[in-house]
Parts: sequence; C-alpha cells; structure tokens
Amino acid sequence: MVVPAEAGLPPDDLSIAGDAVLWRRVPDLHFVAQADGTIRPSSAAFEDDPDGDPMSTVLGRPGRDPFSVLLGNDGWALARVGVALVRELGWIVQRRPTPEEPDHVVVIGNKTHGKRKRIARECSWAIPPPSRR
Amino acid sequence: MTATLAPIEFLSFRDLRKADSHSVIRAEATLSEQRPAWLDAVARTCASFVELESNWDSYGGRPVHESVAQATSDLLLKLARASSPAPTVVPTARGGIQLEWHIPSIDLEIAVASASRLSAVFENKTTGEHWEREFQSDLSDLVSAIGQLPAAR
Repeated sequence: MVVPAEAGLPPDDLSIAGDAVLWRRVPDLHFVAQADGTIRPSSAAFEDDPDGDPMSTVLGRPGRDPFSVLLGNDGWALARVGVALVRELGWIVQRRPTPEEPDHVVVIGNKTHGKRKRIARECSWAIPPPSRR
Repeated sequence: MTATLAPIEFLSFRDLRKADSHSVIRAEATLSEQRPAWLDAVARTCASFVELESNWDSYGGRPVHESVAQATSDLLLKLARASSPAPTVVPTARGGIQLEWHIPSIDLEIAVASASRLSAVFENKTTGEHWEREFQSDLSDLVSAIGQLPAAR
C-alpha cells in the first residue's frame, strides 16, 4: 500500500529504493531495556535536530562497513531503518551529501511521538549495543 | 482523580517545618510510604543530564535544562505510586527528558519538553486503549496509565 507523504513536504527521492536501509547512530543514553531482556533504541533517538534540520541518517550501501558511521563514538549502536517504513509514516527521504559523509540522507516529515515510537519499535540493529555484540 | 502539572513545588518540607514540626513528621511518613523506592535514583539521573555537553548525541543535542530535570522529578512524585515500576529515563535532543515503561502488554512514554510542556503516548495491548496527546493541566489520563502498569517486584 502506498501511503501519501505528509502535505507540504518536498518531493521524495525515488532513486532511493523502498528496500534500502538508513543507518542512524544511537548513543548509549538512548538504549532502552525491554521486558524480554532485549535492548531497543528510545523513540527519542529519532528526532529532528534541535536547530530544525531534519533527521540525519546514512544510506546503508551494500558493501559499506557500518562501523565507519560509528567512528569516534565508542559504546554506541547503529539502528537500521527501512526506507519503506519511513515512507509508510508519510515522511520522505532526500540525499544531502556532505564532504564528510557522501551517503548522508535526511528524513523529512513531522516526527510525532507516535511515529517515532513506531520507528523505535520496528527498526533493527545494524550494530547492536556493545553488551549484545 | 485529577492531578495537575502546575505548580511544581510539592516537596517544600522546609516551609512545612517552619509551620508545625508535628505535622511535618506525619507528612514525611505519609510521603515516604507513597514514594517509589527508585525515585531518588531517577531524580539523580535526571539531574545528571543537565551536565551533558552540547552535541552529546552527535546530532546537535542540547543539555537538559535544570528546570526540566526538576519538573520531571516532580511529575514522577505526583504520578507514580510506591508500587509503580521504575521508568527508563533518557534525555532528548532538544533538552527535554523522556520517561519510558515497556512491558509485554503496555507501552507508556512521557516526554517532558519543559516545565509546562508535556506529551505522552500510551498503548495497552490487552485493553486496546491507545492514545497520543499533549497535556496542559489535567493529568488524569497519565495517572490512569501509570496505574495500569503492573506493580514492581
């Protein structure tokens, strides 16, 4: 089922396939223990930047070492979010390469608490927290 | 039962002491029976977030403002029962604090953005109750949600 993007958003970058994945760094302060003993990211890990920029991610290209995204952040983890889920929430993705990160992608859309909670629940770990590796 | 968000200065025992030392003893005993055992530890965790460095999450995250840490502790004292399970407490990128309870049948997340801005999402998979809303003054839905959490063991 195709879910229309939220009103007023820029065009979605359809060159990024629905089965592509986005990586998002998760600091250890955002690890949340579940009743079954597993750890998942807090929904607070999927907010837009405080300065108003949309949520930053890195496109998980096949063959790229995900640890390269965590460099300098020992003890953190890396969440894997499907682009299809992002679109299902009415958000869009846009490439915004930077000199430091050519695979930089932003996720644009209203990050309501409920939608962030769904991302937190349905994402997986590209790199789990250190205690689970 | 109706609870309200403001004013947030419920623990002014100093003022109570000035008034009547006997009534203070009774008030402290009552509060001590009603306070969750984990409250002080959670309050310390909230206070520690004030010391976070800028960009602590690598995405421009801000340290938690002292008033938010205090408001979060105050809120918990108002809402939590002695038997309530402890929440997981996390800072938010915009300087707020989020409280989370995740048990097999219930998800409850409360975000304290400022001393006067509060939102929450709640889902009880057993009853089907599910809501997401902001709170101004009437916290009765939050009282009810926390009341549905199983007693801590």
